[in-house]
Amino acid sequence: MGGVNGQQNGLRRTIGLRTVISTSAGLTFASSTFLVVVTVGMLMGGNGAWLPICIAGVLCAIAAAAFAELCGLYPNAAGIRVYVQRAFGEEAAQVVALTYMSVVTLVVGAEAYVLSYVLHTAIPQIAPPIWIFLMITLATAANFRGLKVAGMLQDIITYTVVVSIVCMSVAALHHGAFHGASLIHPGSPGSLFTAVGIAIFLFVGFEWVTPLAEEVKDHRSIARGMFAAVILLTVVYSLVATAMFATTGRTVLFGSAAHRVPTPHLAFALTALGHAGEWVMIVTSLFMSLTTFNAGLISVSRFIYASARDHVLPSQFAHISLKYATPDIAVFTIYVIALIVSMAVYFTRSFVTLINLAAVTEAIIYSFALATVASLRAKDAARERPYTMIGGRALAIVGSVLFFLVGLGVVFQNNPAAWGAGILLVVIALGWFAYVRKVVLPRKEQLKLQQKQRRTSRRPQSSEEL
Amino acid sequence: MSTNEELSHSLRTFADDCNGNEKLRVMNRDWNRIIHIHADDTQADYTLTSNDGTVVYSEGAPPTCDLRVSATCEILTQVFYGEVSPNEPYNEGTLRVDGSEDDVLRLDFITAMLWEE
Repeated sequence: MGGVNGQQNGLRRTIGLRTVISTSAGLTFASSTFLVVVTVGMLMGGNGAWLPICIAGVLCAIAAAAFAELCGLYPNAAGIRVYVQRAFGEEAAQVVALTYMSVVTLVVGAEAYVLSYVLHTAIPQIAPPIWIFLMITLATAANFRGLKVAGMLQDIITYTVVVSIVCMSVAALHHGAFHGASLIHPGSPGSLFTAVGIAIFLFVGFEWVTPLAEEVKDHRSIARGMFAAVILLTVVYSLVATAMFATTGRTVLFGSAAHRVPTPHLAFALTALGHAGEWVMIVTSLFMSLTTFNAGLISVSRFIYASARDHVLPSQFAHISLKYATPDIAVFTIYVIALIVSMAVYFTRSFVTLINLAAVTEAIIYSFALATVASLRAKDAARERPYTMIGGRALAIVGSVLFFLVGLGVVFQNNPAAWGAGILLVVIALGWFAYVRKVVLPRKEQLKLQQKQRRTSRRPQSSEEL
Repeated sequence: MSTNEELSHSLRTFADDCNGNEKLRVMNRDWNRIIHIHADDTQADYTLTSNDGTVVYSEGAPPTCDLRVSATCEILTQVFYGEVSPNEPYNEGTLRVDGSEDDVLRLDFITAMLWEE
């Protein structure tokens, strides 16, 4: 049928390559990524942040190849949950998906924290907690109404962000005292390894474009779009990292371990380009966060709904608003959780822990995706694959091990924000593991049977009634 | 093994059930979509058109559509008679839905409200 091998003939609304790239890259751009750029830069000697970013980009390109193969194999909006289920069974799939979505919720909290300080810089009369409340309430209202950043709007936002960051970086490098030699100043191998793991955060979410597999004009666009997005992100972040450290003092960007600067991108823009630059960066940051909030809150609320439909979470979460045709209880639940997390981040200032948590989780998710490719090459060898990843099973296994190791590299650092992230991830994953094993799996078959019994077939008793 | 006649009947029944459900009519009042149903094994095509909350069944493929649902005749018949949840074949990869994520989700809402409340 159409869509498997080529053109989605007949579909009225389809998405082209440009929008696939903008969606993939746009989901990744976030205000909190600048904190990671600074963390990576601080781990490197001289002005060498571009190196771990490029290495992370290469690793993510391998992950992109894995996701391209998987979404061609199973074009399903449930994405990683379905892939892992086919390879490693339902228990693993549920634990991976629930852990991933929990971490996405926490990242929305970190993003809200950073953006609240950005907006506080623009309008100092409004305190950051009020901004947090306003932003999450606004994003939830849009989610509740089913409003989504997509299509042309996504194109405009993403490409505006790219142009803005590239122009500011080039202008800053042009005006600043940039020394090419500092680019190849090496850090220690251990620091480089850790920096690569943390830099994975800069690519978090590029694979969320795979649900678009069911609405693209050409199925190959998903693979091409993810690769193009990874290259775009690598270039943009390498450039801005170089510009930030070439023009702005390390202390200005970083602060101290105890008091990290929440908005290093504003500090860079102000130092390198003055107040005009700072305002451009504020607007850019707002654009970056807009897609993060929108995609994050929508994805998690729809995931809660789907999990309730699948008897993984309580059935109340599958309630649908008749007025707006959205899963209202799931939307409201994620609103409350996002508010609590954001306020907790604000009062504890633990945003670095959450960023480390996201980096290690994403590295492990990519490790799972590659392991899934390797497993399914054996388990489901006969199934048609519109796209097969280069390097085959061997690269999938090597890539999986590499991602797992760089993920470990993030948490095995001598600071509480790093190992704290590791402990938090283990607690979340074990919590969901216990829940899935003790609560979900034992009653799921029973609930499915009850549901089946409630269904009344509308099939006529005899063929004469047809 | 279902026949094209059974699939056709299941789709007519589905349309009737949608039209007889007041909640669905309210929810879908501004969801105007053309849905193409295609049976992979028998190559049969049908169309469901949702307009102002009313669902209309017709035979044959539409010139353009917003959603395309495809599977074997047997699976489609079971799904549209309400015998199996569409999630099961969808997650198994034996039922394919092409279209925007929101429209795919809306179809899921419809089946949930029709058979699982």
